[in-house]
Amino acid sequence: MDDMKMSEELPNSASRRNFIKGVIAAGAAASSTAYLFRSTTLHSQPSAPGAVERLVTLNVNGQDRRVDLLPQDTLAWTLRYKLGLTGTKLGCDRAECGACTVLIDDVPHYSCSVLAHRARGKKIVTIEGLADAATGKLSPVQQGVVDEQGFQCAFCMSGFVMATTGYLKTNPNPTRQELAHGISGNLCRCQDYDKILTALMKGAEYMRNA
Amino acid sequence: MADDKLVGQNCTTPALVATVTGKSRCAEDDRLEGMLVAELLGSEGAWTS
Repeated sequence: MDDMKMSEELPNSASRRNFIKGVIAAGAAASSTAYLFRSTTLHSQPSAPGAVERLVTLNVNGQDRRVDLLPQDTLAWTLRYKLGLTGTKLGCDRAECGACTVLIDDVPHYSCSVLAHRARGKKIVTIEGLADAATGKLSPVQQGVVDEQGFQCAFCMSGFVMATTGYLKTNPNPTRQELAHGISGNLCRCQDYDKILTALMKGAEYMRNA
Repeated sequence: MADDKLVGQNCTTPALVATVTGKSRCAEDDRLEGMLVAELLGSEGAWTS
């Protein structure tokens, strides 16, 4: 008992307590910063020097874009906050909702769960790259959405449109049931699925007739 | 009202084309000049019991 009391009074012990307090405070500051910027704490950690190349080229919507990447940067994060392509939405940031779907080499991927480094050397297409850049002509799926007004708040829209565009490349003539299955990885919080499917089926029809 | 040309007509939402091409911006897409931190507060009134 006396020993414990003594150790409590040692100057070292007091400084250790202060040290731990400091660590807790720093941890709280780091995690609240991460919350505000909609990221995991990984984003705010410095990368180990020399681990991977930082300045890389990503092919986005047909353009080669130079971007400074940390190893832990996700593709969605990179597209939105480093390349300014905010049409790609972050809904859950954990591969549940599909709002961040983009095409990588024509295959739909949840960009929140793909590291940007994994997309090097591949062709990335986002919602901004669907319409014809020169004429502004909408892609068939986009035109279907405009004509049928398929979405309510449209936060999930870019994910649905990208997923459909990718799915139609493998099955250009789907039944309503097949298309519903093809985009089942995307969620709509407005519960507007029936109108969304109608709009996307219209898009599929436009694509076949184009 | 004399100007009733929209009554009974289908109307396209004004921002629809911008939305469908990814150009429209949600509140959290904005970064203001010099902004370090922002917090989005939802309405406390828009609830049903």
